Amino acid sequence: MTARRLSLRALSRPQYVLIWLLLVLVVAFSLVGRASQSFRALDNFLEILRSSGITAIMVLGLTWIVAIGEMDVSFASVAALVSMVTAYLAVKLGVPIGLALLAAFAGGTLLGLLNGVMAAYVRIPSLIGTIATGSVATAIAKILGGGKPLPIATGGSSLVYAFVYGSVAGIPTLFLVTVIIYLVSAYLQDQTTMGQHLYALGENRTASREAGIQEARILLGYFVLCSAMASLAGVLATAQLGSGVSELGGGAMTIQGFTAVFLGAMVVKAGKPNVIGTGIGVVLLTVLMNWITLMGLQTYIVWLARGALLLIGVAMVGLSGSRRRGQAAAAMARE
Amino acid sequence: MAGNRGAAVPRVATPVIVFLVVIALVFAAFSLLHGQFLSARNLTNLLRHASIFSIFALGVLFVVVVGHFDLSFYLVCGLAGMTTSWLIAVEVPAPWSVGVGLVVGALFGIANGVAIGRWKLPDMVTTIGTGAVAWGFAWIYSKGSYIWQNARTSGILLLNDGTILRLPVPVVFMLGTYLLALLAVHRSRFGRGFYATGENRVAAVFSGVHVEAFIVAAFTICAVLTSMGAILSNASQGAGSVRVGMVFLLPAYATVFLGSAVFRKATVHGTLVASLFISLMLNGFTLMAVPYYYSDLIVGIVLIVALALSSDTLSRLRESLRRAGRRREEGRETEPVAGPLAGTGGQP
Repeated sequence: MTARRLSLRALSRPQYVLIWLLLVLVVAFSLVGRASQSFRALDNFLEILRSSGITAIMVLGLTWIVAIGEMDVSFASVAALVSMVTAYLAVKLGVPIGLALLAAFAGGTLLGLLNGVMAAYVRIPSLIGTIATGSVATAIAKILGGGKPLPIATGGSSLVYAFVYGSVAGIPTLFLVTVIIYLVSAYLQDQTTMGQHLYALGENRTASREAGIQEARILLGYFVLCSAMASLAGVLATAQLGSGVSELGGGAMTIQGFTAVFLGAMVVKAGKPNVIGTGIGVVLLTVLMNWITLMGLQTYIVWLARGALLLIGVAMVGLSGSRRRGQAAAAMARE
Repeated sequence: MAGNRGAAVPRVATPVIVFLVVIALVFAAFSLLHGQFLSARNLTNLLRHASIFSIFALGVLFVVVVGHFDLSFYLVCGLAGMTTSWLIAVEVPAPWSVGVGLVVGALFGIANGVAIGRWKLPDMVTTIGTGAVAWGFAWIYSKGSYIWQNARTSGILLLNDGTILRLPVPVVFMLGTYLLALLAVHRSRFGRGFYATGENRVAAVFSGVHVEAFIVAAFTICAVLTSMGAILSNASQGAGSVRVGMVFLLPAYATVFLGSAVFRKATVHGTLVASLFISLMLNGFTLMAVPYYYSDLIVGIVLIVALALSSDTLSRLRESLRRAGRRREEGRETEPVAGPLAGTGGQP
């Protein structure tokens, strides 16, 4: 993105349609309808930024997993497990909160290692492998809390709590840090060989392998990264909610994550999942969900909206991809 | 695998025998642990549950055989079940209600199949999307609460309580669907098409197999069978629930993969045996009042073990380790060749 100059003409390209959609939604929600007054309140905007920060961190790794052509449906369960383990260690066993957070984070990342070994070395289809690890993670999370959330009383004093609710110059710290993480990731993805390997593997596994790219090691790395980011989000969510919650592992978060990634794939790189797009997708979804909550609409509307958006994203990405492949095939046939 | 057909028979038979012994041991263990396990009442319950569950697993099998995944069936079947229950609540005759419910399920299956088979959209994400839409629609009938009106008087409960030739109706359904599937998949040219599509799509296309049609068929069969399962399950609960399919997502995949680990291939009979095993465990744990989330843990572990034990997996692991070793030895030599690879290979 840095190479191309951001001019007005560039911004009117189809790649940037999602950004315009986001702006239109924000303006429309702030001006029209009975929820407009509460929607445009400053506190509400800060809340949107804060909660999109956590979701954005959770799905950063997922973006690259999808870009490389794999699947990880366990990320939300990993976050749930980390959240419950933190709460369990701190509340039930009296471990200092900092230590509990580190231990839980390490556990979540280990789960990513298991996902990666299964996908990269044992070559189990990553969907099935992560369904299995995800359900084990959610089950352990529920067992630890007996199926209920575990409140943490000491949340107020901890560093993480300050991080989640603190703000710099009026903007939530969490959101600022998320933006920095995303910018660094975008740099890694677009300006380094790491990103080139990523998209090469996503385009053509066999060719990349033959070209000497260390397929298995890279896959393993991304699975670990995906779980590590999800674990970090789990830690942050625990602080935000003041308790360990196993409900993070439900289907809602998983669908939210995939929707963000696939909507984001329409942005910037036109058809390939990328971090900037995912970030925009997360903010768009959070705005939409926030508005639906403020309007007091039924939850099924949320699901219909999420499902429809996901399908639109997939269809646009998939159909543009097949058209590209079709053109390439036609070009080859002409030669 | 080709060539040593003589040796293949005992090699396939051993894991099957081991598995049957494991099933017998689990059965014996539950009978010893809980006095009620062997009661006629519980055995009938077990058989009913196993029947419904194995119909779900059979649906999933078709999608797995064509090399795809369906993450929408557990929500689509909820919509189908709710449609049936709602129609019954507004006094539509039971057979019509069931029929319309199945049609709704089938429509989602066809949509999945066309999107994935014809438009080549990624299967998992597409089905996550259609699943979310189905879940949203399922809530519209009653805002998510149970629909029980008219269930008692309409005759829909006969789907659970009735008997045909002294067999409970769900068992008859199971036997019927499995017999049909066994004949269609393993004893007909039609069935070969599913395997051909899943194993090597390019070869299948060039052999004149209508790959797209088989993918659409597989997703539709999956949606219809799981919708049938949901309607049976609702009949056994006496009310329609949007959540009816949720408990089946993980166990259904675990079953299909366990079956294919034991029988070396995803097959109808393998799925049947594996689904008996899994529903035996689920029933036993329910009887012993273990909270529901423990069963997820155990089924999840069974799935991981099944994946790890399937001999395919082990040979693939050896292969990838060997390749890694070879690459390390050759080191530099392979790299200069890497240049003109961008246009080669690749699946269409």
